[in-house]
Amino acid sequence: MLLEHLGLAALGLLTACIGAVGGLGGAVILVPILVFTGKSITEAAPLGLVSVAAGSLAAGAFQLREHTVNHRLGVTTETAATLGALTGALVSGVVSEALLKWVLGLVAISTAVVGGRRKGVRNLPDPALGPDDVGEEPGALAGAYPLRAAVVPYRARHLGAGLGMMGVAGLVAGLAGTSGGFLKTPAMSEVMRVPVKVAAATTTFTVGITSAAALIVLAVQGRISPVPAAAVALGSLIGAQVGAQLQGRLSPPLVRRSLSAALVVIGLVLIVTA
Amino acid sequence: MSATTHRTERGSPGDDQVAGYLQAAAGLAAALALAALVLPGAAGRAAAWAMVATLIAVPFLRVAWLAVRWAHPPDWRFFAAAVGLLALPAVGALVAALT
Repeated sequence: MLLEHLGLAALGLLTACIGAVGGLGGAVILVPILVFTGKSITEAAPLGLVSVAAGSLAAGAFQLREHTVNHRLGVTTETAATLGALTGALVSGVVSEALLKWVLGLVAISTAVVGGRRKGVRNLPDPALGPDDVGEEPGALAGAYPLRAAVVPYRARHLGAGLGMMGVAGLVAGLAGTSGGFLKTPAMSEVMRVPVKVAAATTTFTVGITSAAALIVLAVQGRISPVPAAAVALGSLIGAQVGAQLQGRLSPPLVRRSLSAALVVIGLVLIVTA
Repeated sequence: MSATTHRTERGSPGDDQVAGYLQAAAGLAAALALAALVLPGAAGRAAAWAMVATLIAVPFLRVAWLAVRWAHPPDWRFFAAAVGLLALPAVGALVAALT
């Protein structure tokens, strides 16, 4: 039993670290590995959500101090995502294992595609803005964030389409126990035209809410094994912080491409075995 | 968006303070998780549930703090979104308990 818990902690650490480095979230790697090693998806999904919540908590302080989180954008989009997550968590107990494997397999492959194709900075710095202009714009889904010595203004667009994608991301999170962050960050960045750094930091904030909402439902349904959850959380809390530190040192495109290749393999195996 | 029309909250007030609280919460969750693995039997399970409760509570406390922040000075649209977001998990828990 102790060895199993140590193994879960190590797995949580490793996947949260890799997920933080690659910007994909650790649960999308953790849950398929747990399924490979013999856990059912209904057992693995709560552990994935615990990993997401722990990773979000671990990264929260760092990103708040960076002033890259847009809380107004996060709360607005999260209403759709939480609704989706609650629906997913409620129906996940009655959905067949084969269907969940299909969902998880497609999630892994989608993550691979999105992660491998992620683009860089779209919004350009405004030389007229200074450090005092960094922050959120009251009453709007807009703001400005610091990028090295410059300040970059931005304004979210296509709110309806963005909310739709957030709902789907939440549904996947509740159903398969992943963060849905692989859908949320591109939705904010590519659909809503928010800078990728703000999108990633805001997503890290929102996946904590999505996973917490889904965990409430799973706790009420008696589907959380507390001690294994603690093992995963301990590893994820450490791994997410290590990953955040490593992110600045490694080449993100290289890491994302390697992760994408691994996720494609995992996804295909899950779909074949479903 | 030009500089003349740009109007921000200047560093998002309270962010640094909340960052400190988040760091403390992460430390607490890690300590509880460790206790859950080390302590035997019921004590270990109690520590594990406390850790899960911490992970669940912190994001919603952060949203509650945002709701308070957007009430003074008023930013009613986002205040309503934050309050709605806080209500959703309660509805979900109720539905889960009833089904």
